Amino acid sequence: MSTQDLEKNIADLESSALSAIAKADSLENLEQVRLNLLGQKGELTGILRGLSALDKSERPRIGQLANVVKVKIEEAHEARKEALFQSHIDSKLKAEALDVTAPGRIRALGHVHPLSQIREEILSVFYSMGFEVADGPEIESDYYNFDALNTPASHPARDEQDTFYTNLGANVLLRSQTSTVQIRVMEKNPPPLRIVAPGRVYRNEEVNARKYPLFHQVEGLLIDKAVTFGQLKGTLTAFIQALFKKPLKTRFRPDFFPFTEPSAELDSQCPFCNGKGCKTCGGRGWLELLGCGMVDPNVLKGAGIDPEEWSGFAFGMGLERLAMLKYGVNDIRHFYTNDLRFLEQF
Amino acid sequence: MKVSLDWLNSDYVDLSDLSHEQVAEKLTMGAFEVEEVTVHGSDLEGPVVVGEILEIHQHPNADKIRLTRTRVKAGDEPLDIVCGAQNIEVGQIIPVALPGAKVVNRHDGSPLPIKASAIRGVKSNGMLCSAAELGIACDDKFGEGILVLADKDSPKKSGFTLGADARELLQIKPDHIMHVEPRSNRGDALCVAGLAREIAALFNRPLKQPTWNLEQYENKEAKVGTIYSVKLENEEDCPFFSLIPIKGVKVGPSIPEISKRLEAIGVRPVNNVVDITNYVMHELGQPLHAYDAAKLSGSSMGVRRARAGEKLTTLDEKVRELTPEVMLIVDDDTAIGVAGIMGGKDSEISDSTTDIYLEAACFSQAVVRRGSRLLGLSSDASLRFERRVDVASVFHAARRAAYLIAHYCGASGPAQVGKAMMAGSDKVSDVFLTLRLSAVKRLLDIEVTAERVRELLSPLGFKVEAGESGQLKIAVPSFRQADVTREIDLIEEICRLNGYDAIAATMPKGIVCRQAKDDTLVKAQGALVGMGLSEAWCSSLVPASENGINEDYLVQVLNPLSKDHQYLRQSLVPGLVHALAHNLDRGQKKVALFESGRVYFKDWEEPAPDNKSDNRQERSAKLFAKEINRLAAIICQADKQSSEKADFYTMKGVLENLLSGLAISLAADKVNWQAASVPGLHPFRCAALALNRPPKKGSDHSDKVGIFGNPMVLGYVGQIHPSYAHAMGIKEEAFVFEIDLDRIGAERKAAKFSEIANTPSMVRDLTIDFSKEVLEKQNDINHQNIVRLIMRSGSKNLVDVQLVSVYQSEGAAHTYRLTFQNPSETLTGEEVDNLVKEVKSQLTKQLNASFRA
Repeated sequence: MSTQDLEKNIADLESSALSAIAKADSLENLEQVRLNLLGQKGELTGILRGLSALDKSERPRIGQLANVVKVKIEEAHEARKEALFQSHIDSKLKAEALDVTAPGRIRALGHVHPLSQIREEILSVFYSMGFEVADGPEIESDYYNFDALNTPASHPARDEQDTFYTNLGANVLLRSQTSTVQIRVMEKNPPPLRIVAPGRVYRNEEVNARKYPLFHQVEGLLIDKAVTFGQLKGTLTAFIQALFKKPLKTRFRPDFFPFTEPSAELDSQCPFCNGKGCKTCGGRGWLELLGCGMVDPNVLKGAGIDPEEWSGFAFGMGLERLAMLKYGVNDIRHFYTNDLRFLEQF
Repeated sequence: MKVSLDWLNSDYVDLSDLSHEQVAEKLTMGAFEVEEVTVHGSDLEGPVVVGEILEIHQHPNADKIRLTRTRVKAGDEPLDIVCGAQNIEVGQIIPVALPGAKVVNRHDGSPLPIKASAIRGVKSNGMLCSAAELGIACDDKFGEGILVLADKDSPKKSGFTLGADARELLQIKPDHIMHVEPRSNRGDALCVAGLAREIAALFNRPLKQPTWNLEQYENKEAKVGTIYSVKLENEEDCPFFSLIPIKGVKVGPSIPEISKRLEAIGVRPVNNVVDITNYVMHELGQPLHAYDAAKLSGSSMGVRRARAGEKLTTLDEKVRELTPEVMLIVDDDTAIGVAGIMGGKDSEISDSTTDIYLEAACFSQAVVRRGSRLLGLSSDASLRFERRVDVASVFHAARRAAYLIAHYCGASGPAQVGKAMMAGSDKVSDVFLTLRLSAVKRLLDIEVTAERVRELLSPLGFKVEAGESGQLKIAVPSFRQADVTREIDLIEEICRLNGYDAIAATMPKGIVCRQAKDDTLVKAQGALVGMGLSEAWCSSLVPASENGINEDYLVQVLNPLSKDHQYLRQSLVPGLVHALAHNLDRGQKKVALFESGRVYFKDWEEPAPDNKSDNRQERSAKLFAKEINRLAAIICQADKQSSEKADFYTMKGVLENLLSGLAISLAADKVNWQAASVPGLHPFRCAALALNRPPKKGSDHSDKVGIFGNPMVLGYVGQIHPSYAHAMGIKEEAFVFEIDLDRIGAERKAAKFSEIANTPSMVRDLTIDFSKEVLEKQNDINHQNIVRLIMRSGSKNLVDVQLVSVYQSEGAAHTYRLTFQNPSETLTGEEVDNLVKEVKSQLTKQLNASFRA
């Protein structure tokens, strides 16, 4: 083949190759075109191989010419391949279109019991104020449930009509209040003390929408030097505001408990109407939330703490009552029936 | 307790310038919570004025209704007012409710607002009112129809000013009744006079007293009936007893002045004498009883305990069986009343009574309370005795009642009050307390002076005397000697009277927290909720029939509310089974619940300790029973089509996941699973999870009972026994686990990092065949044993073995995936092949396994 023919062949090949590449409409076609040109038996490969038969003086020039064409073809191929790949991806993605509004595939989560939830909220607030969580037995003696709590022997709460007694001895009962934990903690640990004690308590009461023979309380106790009634007010107001996440006003109303003196009921401005009066607070604007007071000197003395050196305050609240208020539950029995239609609302 | 504001105001403390809301608020903030205030009597709202009927015309569209022109202000144009009453005449002076007024609907007593409106096409600008519409028709004296204040020609007519407020004229004023929560330690305030004392102190106003004079009716010679002495069995039950004879009484209708006040506070009037005993009880807090002297025949009246089997018919006509815990009033020896609770039927006064004995006494709080509970009988009297009556005030109340009876109930002229008979003593010795002003400061953080203390406490009957520097000597009045016995009680009174609001809120100083919150429970809740289980809270009081109860260690309630709440639970599972049945009954398909809570066992180590021990450390260390924290779960899938299966392995998986989440190692060198037997569970579908070694701590939790009796057992998982499920009405297979949270808590380990190997790992699948014969012969062929053997024989380079599948036909084929890795160098295929070969040979040797070519 003459040099001229060869040059022409190369030129022809360039134009036919570029046109074939441009026409290739799929990655497979394009690959076939590439093989036909650049593969082992490809046309250009054949031409390049034929160069050895050329005159030595012509070889570099023709070789360079062929190489330029080869590079052009390769570049055209790459560009076409990129374009085809992109359109391939585009159509593949389009085919994968989903109804993104359709529901997610989930494994349903369970629900934490509302009493657990409110207990954790209460404990967390007090924990942040430096109160430790303490614990005590439910099966208690009348000493811890009554005597140590300054409750006189003739107090009506001691009656069988109010308190459950057990087969473990005449003095062994099911505690009717978590205040028992106060005493055990004070007996075991020297002041200063800050504890909260959640727990189950029992009272001999007929079952109805408001009462159940067992329920739950959280008890709190703070003993230190120079603890005042003002600190009781401050601490519990801070607690109420943290629990309801609102700057609610509180009011402390005088009341009577055997183990605290002075004693108070804490009313909070109703968090549901901000004190304006609503169904939850019975239009009063205030909700009675917990009982509290300064620890009675007799209680301190009984637990081995000198009331002239130390003073303190205690408080107690009912989980059910708080949960009923917070969630608007109207019947206490819901908490122990464990109906999923109830539990799943929390 | 209900208290009439009107009664307080007219007899004891001037409150006329205060609204009922102000009084209620003050009482509430002064320790006597006013639960509600109700209105007694008419609550008219104005304008209701005096008018004169000028003209009467027939209504154009109705027969029975007439049209009046009524003037309601001198000189004003008369108003058109339609009226349906038949008794109206021109010239009458009548009350007129004008638009905007609120009167009483005479049909149902509800409020009736007056508007200018058209009645059968004729405009009416108000309403002429009847007595009922003004709320004053409590007796019939006003008759039917419009209340005529003055007739046309009456001379009284000139006394009326048209347009004057008719409510004022007729003295129609509502009374407000405060419902005060009785305070168990404040029997002294359970009456008008006692509450008045509190109110006077809280408002800092003078206390008044009604005036009366008994002397004028006293006649020491007046003799009545046969009784001439009173005697007491013991003065602990009854420290003081008095009996006043009253001669010449006529029992008759209620006295309006008395009965009006009783009705206002919801006490039903009975007759003039009984009303007075009730009146004085509500006024002064002292229960009283009047006996018909003619119905008693003994020579002495007294107080003694009842004898077993003794009976008495009480005023409510019920026959009461008595016991020695009940105190009686006796006529010689005959029971005539349950002391402090209720009188007897036989000595009740009646229309024919002419002479009476008036009893007033002080009875033991505890004995009355006990008697009242035993008899299931409580009364206004017992309520007061239970809260303590002041012995020093008994006789004063008796004289007050005697005065009122003599004054109002004489047969002809006043009755005669004879010489009182008394037993016991009503003398009370003085009690003095010392108050340090520094102690007030220390607890309340307020500065009070001696003068301020006197100002606060004197109105309540305390006598404040100056003592030594900064100390006050304070005399406690008799009626407060039960609840004010120490300095702290005085501080409480100061705090209350000075106002809780007067103390500024501050924060305590310093932070004390020795120990972090245990997060085991919260972590467990999170893990289980994440796996789709919801938390249940079940009753810890259970019936005796509960599954799996161990009688020997049972804690029993001796006075249970019902058979369903008789024992303390020993397992959480039965409660969850109940909850499952409840939910399935209500159409739930998938039920997955868990509970964490305590179980209770009678202590097997020592008898219940004597808790009166004086050694605090010793005392507080002792418990009366074992209270163990458990966690249990139940799952059940009633929908067979559901993709969410619930079988034994689902439940076991939940447990394994939970334990991993709590950082409990389930590695073979730490724990093992073993087939177990648990009452109530399927005998072949139950496994216990146990530690390989006894625990270091928490061994004191050894329950001795059931599967947890082994201290190494952490918990179990299994299927509810089909017959248990059937008994509970559960048709589906249900699976449970129960673990000991205290043991789990003790085994939790802090996470520890181990180096990540960079060498490649190699995986080989191994199918192990066991022939039918081998399976029959060897009962140790199970997953756990196979895996353990593989792990043991695969060298330390065998890092993981996972079960891929189990295929059972004649024999069984288990396929496991073995992962090999050497952290320090790359294993060759040949090395791994050799390891697999060793595994196979051990399996063949020890478990008679075979392998396919």
